[in-house]
Parts: sequence; structure tokens; C-alpha cells
Amino acid sequence: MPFTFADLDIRTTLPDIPASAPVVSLTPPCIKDRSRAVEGLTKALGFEVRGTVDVPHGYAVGGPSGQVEVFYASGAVRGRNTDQLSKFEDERRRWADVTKDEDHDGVFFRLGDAAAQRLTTSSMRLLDSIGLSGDHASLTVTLGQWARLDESGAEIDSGPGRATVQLGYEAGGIRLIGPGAKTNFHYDPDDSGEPGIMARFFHVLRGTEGVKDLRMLTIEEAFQPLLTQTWSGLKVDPTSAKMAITSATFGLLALPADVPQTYAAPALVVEGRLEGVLAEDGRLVELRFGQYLPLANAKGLADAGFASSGPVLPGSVVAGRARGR
Amino acid sequence: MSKYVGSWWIKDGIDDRRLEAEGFASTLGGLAQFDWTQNHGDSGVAKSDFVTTPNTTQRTDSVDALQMSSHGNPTTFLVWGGSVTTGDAIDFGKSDLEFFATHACDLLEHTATNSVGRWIPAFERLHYMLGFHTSSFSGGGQNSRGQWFALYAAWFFYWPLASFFSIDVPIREAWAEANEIVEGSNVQWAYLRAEAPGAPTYNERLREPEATDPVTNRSFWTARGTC
Repeated sequence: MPFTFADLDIRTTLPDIPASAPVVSLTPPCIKDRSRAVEGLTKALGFEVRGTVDVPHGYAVGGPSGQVEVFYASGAVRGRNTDQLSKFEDERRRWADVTKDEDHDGVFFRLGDAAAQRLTTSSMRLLDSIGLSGDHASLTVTLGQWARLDESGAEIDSGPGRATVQLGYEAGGIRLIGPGAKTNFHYDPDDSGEPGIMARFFHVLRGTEGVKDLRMLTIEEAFQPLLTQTWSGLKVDPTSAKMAITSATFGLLALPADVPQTYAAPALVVEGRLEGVLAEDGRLVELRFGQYLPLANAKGLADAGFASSGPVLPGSVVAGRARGR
Repeated sequence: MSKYVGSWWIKDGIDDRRLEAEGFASTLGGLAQFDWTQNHGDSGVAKSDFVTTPNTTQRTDSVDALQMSSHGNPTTFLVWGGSVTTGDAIDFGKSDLEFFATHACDLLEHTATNSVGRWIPAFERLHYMLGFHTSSFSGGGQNSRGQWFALYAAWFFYWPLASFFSIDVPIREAWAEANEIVEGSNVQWAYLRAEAPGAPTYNERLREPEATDPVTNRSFWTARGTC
């Protein structure tokens, strides 16, 4: 017996799903436009360019100490300085301007306001100079976090890692969710602890060219794929197990940079827990999940002129099947 | 001598989860330097693959690196019909395994009240556990996670144009870059690594020959960052 929507333990505020919502047409990337970005990033990342080569997902410019890649599917751009990625002997990054804070999860580190502002300013200047700036909807500066533990698992020390300036985007006034709409600048401190030496860069944002309103699924319909899916061979009894929803966000789903995408349709990004499942060995199992749930059905999308075949998947050897059956 | 790689996956109706794990092993298996020797899906994902069991050789320990797709929580990852927890007798690397990568949600969560050190007993001679501090996601194009991990961890080092240039990054960076492509910015990749005097692992590459295992006088490092 599968779960029903009424069985769900909703531990968050579910977003209002409008009766209809926009589906945004995406423009095919113009790869020629990326030459300015490639040139600017090779300079910003500071490595010797030996040449340009075709890679399975597009082309790459660079040499042994760094590369910039352009993704044909989306026009995304990725760059790295491989010398910088191996420069340190461990996770520690000695930022001169760093603040130690504490929340319910424990100690964490953040870049000081002045250093964060300097990184932001230089990042936005670079983005503009290489022709990739867009109207970002969010901007955050975060630090990676590390901790050192002894054999017993006790934490000996902790501190800040690499800094990331991250931009998020919207389309048609709606937040773009998923992996395919962001800009990340990843920085190490210089030898004096000041910002910042760029170690890696990633930008993916498809252009938009039109919007159509489509009827949306109800929230009960949208959750059906989650409610009816199997759970790793576990016998899940809704009368004793509980499915909790801990977060749900509405947005337009932007697919990864390596996926051709001609439209972005509304979806929910959902996190939750399945609790109190009795496994065959008598253990009570809890699992957590994160899943994207489409809000537009395939027929509605096709009727409006939006369709996707999905990727071409590799086949597998079928043994023992008679020819033609 | 080739390195051996493997894939373990449970689909639960989303084939992307199979492709994630198989993509890692099949991409590396296309190189002369690696052999894809283990591939187990759905009901073939057995607890005895991961937990030391009398009279059973753990199939996970016959490979150098593996990628797994299954659900989890900070103390548990699922196998078919059951779970493997931090309380089980896990001895990763007692024979061979050096790198264990999984998309199990929150497996490597590290907080003041729940240290990721709970997984240290699973490190027999293991070098890295690679996973997530937060949830990871399915259903939004994550099928190429393993392929990207393999491409950056070793494939672009050995690829046909390697004489022109190669991409050579530490395995921790390959994991970060792979997940930056397939996950939203709400997700944080994470890893837990062991090191010991004479066995540094911070800049370790998957493409390198078998490195010295961190075994005695070890310390452990965890790190996380945004996708």
C-alpha cells in the first residue's frame, strides 16, 4: 500500500502552486560568444595556454597547469588553475580577515565583510569584462569549512577553506532551481592572507527568449512520483512508517551544463525523510532523500510546443532473448 | 597494473541513479589503466559487500575505487532490503579499497553534536570517503555525476590527447567539480580523508599508482564546500 498525500508529515511550509505558471523558452548557446570569456579566464586564472582541443562536452583551451572548458550543450564555462588546486598541503587557508561564528550546528567561519566585499567587487568586474554578467538574483560569499579529527573522532581543530562568491539567477521573475543556473568563483588567499587567487570558476546560465503559461499539476499530483516509488527493497508500511517533508521550494528547473535544454519548466525541489521502516533484519531504518518533482505534465508541455527526448542512453546486453520478441 | 573500479546502485524507479554509479566505472573502464570489475544493482547490492561477514569476501574490497548510489542518513547508507550503519563491522580497505564515493544524503554531515568521526572506524586502510554534508538530489539530471567524477579524477589525464595537455587534479577537486555540474547551489559536497606520516593524501590522485596506505598514527580531515 503506497503512501498518500494525506499520510505526509509536512514539517515545512509548502509553496503555493499556482494553477498556471510560466514555462520559459531557452535560447541555444552561441559558442562563438564564449571566446571573450575563455580569453579573459585564462588570464584571470593565470596559466600558460598551449592550445585548443575538442573534449567530449565541447572544447577546452589551456595547458598542463590550467584549462578553460566550454560546454556546447549550454554555453557553460568552467576554468581551473591546476597548480593552484595542488598548491597547499592540507585544507587550511589562512585568510587575514575571517570571523568565527557559532550556530546550532557548531562553529563555522566566514570571511570578514571587507574581504568579502573586495572579492565580490573583483568577481563582478571580471564577470562583466568577460561578457558573462547577467542580472543575478542572489549573491553570497561563503567559506569552505574543514575540521581535523583524531583517531577517536574528536575534533582537534577547525577552520576556513576556500572562499566562494556565488551568484544565483531568475527567469521570468521566478527563481531558477537545480544545477544549471549559477556562477561560482572559488578563491584561495594569497601568501599574505588577502583575497584572492582564483583557483576555479564555473558559470552556467542559458538565455531566455519567451514565456508561455501552462496549467500546473496540483501539489497532490506533483508528489505522486515520490509517494509511489520504491525504497531499496524495504517493505514500507504507511501505517507504521512516516514520510516527512522537511523542505520544498518552487522554481524553474535548470538542468546541468552538459544537458541540452530548450525550456525550463516549473518544479519543486523537495527534501524529506522516511522514518520507522522495519528492515528484514529487524532494524528500524531512517533514510533521507532529495528529489526534483516536475509540476508540468509531459502532455501539457508537448501541446504547448515544449518537448524533450531526454538523453540517449547506452543500451545493455540482453542475454537469452529470442530475436524479434 | 590496472586499478580496479566498481559500481553499486539502487534505482528505486529513477534510472539516473544507476547511470550515476555505472558512469564512474564505465568511463574509467574505457582506459587501459583501469578495469571495471564489479557492477551490482538493486537486489544485487548486499550488506555483505560492505560489512565484514564470516566466510565472505567483501566485493567492495576487491576494487580500488567505487561509486555507489543509494539513500542514506548521517549514520547509515542503504543496501537492498536493509542498511549499513556506523555500528557495523566495516573495514574498508582491509584488502584494496582506497576511495569510496556515494551520493547518500547527509552521510558526511559534520556538526558539533554529530561528528563525521563516526565513520572513522570504517577506515581500515581507506584513504577517502566522498559524499555530502547535506542532501544530494535525484530527478533533475544528476545521471552524469559519476562520469564527471571519473573524467576529472583520471580520464582527462590519460585521454587520447594527453600528449597535448592533460587535466590532472586531486580526487577531492574532481569530486567537487563533478558535483558542481550536477547539483544546485543548495548542496554541499564533503569528504573525510585519512592521512599518516609517510602517507599524505590531500593531493592524492586517482590516476596515481597504488599509494602508501594511511594505517598507523593517523589523523583525519573533513572538508565541505558549496556546489
